[in-house]
Amino acid sequence: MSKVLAAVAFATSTLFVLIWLKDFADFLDPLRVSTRLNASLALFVLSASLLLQLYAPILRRRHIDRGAQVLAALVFVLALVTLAQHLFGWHAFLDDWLVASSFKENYAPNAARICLASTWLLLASSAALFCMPLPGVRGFFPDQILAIGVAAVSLSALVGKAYGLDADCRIGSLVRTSPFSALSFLILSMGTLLARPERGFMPFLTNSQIGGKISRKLLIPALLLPPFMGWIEHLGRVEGGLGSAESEVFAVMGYIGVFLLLIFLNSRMLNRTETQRVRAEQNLQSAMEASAVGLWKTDVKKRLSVADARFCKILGLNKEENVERTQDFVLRIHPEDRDRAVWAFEKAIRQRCLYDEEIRILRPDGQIRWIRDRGQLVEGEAGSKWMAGAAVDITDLKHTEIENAALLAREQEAVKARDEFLSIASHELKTPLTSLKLQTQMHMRNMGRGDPQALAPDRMLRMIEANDRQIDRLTRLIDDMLDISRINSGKLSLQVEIINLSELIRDVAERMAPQFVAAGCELKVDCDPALQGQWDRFRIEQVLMNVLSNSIKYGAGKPVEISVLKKEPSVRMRVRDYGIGIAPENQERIFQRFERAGPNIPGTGLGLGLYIVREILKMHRGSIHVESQLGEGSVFVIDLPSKLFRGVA
Amino acid sequence: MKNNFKPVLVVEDDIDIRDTLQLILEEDRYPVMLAKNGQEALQVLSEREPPGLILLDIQMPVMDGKSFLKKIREQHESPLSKIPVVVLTAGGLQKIDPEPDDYLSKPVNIDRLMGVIEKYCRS
Repeated sequence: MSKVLAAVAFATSTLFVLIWLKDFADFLDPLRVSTRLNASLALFVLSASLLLQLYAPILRRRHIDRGAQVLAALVFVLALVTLAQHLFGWHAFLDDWLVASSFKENYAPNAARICLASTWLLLASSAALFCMPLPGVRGFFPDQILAIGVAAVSLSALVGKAYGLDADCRIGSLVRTSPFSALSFLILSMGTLLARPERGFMPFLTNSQIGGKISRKLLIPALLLPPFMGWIEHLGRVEGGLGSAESEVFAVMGYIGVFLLLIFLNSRMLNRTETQRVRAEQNLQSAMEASAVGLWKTDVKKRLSVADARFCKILGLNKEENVERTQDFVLRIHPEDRDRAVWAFEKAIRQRCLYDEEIRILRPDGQIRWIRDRGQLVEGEAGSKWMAGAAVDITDLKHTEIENAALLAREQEAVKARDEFLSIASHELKTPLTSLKLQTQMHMRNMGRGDPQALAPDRMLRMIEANDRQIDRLTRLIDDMLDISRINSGKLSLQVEIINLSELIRDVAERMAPQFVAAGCELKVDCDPALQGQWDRFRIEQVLMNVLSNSIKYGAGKPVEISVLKKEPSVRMRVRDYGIGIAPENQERIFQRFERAGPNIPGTGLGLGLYIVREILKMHRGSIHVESQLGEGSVFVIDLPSKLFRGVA
Repeated sequence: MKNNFKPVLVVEDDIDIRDTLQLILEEDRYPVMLAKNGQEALQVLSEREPPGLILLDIQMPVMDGKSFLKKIREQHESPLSKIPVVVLTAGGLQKIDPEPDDYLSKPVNIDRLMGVIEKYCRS
């Protein structure tokens, strides 16, 4: 806009200069432009200065601003000289220089000299353009003030001309300038005002808020309607032959109409904006409703906290609004989160930073909800301070998060157990293999060397015995691993039959006799020979053997006792040893996979024995636990229902 | 039986492997020292002449092979830290720090075993 104005001023002043210089008399005379040559030149230079300043911010060259200021300063000096001429009656060569010869007669002398009114306007305009690149003082910019002055004076000259006050735009003795000069000054000053729309008081007109919109819409009627009314009044008085009283009534009615129109336009615009605002607020409200965001604010000085309806819902209160002392509100936070929340809240107040915490809320009914609570300090008028924020219920999210973490932990645990199993299994399997291989290789070597002792019976027997032990060991390991695999895949099945327990114990004792002898343990059995039950013979033997081999392993050299009690509908079997015992913290652990009671005693199997025992007993709807103290031996207590299935004799 | 073969220290917790290794080595006329774990091996080293080679199992009770190896290698001034150590491993190729002089993976091939022992104990 301002560029258009500057360009128009530039073009018209160029035209005037050309007219004066080149003697376009035919074109000029009917128009009676009467803007003097020097004024035309000055306007030309000023509009050039304005154009330069308009492009300065785009081109970002500091010297463009400087050039524009120099141009403005030149015009200012010219205006000062002319002013001096007017005041002191001097003549200067400027008065009729350059003027085309045909005008010299019409306007001589002083054909080029600027009239006094234009001189004042020039002074102001050039000063305004000179000041444009300078910073403002307390939000006031001299260029804007000067430009407004110039615009007002030139507008009044134009209005005066329109009402026919004077042929040369005179209002009384105040303004006497040609209408074209006045128009040029008006255009130039508007251009100056609009050149920097972002500063001074221009934003009130140019901002994008409702005030700016209304000002922009009302500015044009406000500028155009009063002169129009004045013109109507003038017409009525001068042309229509109305008396001054009638024309004043007419004018007053006209002004009332104009004001009503402006008020109507204004209120319509405000209403429209208000409607938009209310709709936006409703949208926000329904969005908040849908998102279940609870709002709160806390008066930092009075220490009062306000919660809205949705926050009340999160807090478990059936209220539209909850106002309470902040210290009481804090009690709604879960005790474990309280200190953290309060600390973060106070920090946000002190450092004016964001408060953002995930905390638990304790509802009055004891329910716990997770919320994400965010807020920030808001400083109001007169030093009032608020923390204002929003809380979202994230309980479901949090539960998923916690579940996922637990799932991940279990998964990692399983992977760790598997790795451990692989490491133990490879060690346990390779130890007997190594022994076997060394034995066989050694004999092959000896035979290869032709050693006469290589095939001696005592040596062969020793080798075969050692190898047999290793093969048994491997078989046990592989059986254990197969059992684990069956248990894990749920494929372990029971072959249930009626079994005499006392016989079963005797069988096992016989089979394990060599081990008992080797370990120096004596086995004592106390069992009612008539005791029977429906069990899987092989599996119950396995249970007993695993428990007994444990007793031998950790209680070598001491007696082992088995006692069986009938405890309808189960039997209770107690296997007692007098070994190293098991610390309380390990008494549950030993029944888990790959766990062993001793801190790390290799060669004692895969750590699967008691796990398999417990799984087998579970399938029989029985159980096992241990009673023990370190250094005082252990008692493994096995509860085994006599009837696996109800109703079967 | 007179030769200048250096003795071998066998550190192994499994009695069958230990006994078999002893038999094999003694048949080839190497003097043998035995230990059930790292702790015992340290004891043996402190009481007897330094062996030409240590055959070391890794998974052992009381003091395992890794701790034992670390202990003797840390004694920089002592001649113990210079004794070659060959590790018997069961669990694939896991890195052991400090690095032993050689690895033998279980089940051990007797020819490789004797080759290693020859390398360090016959001079």
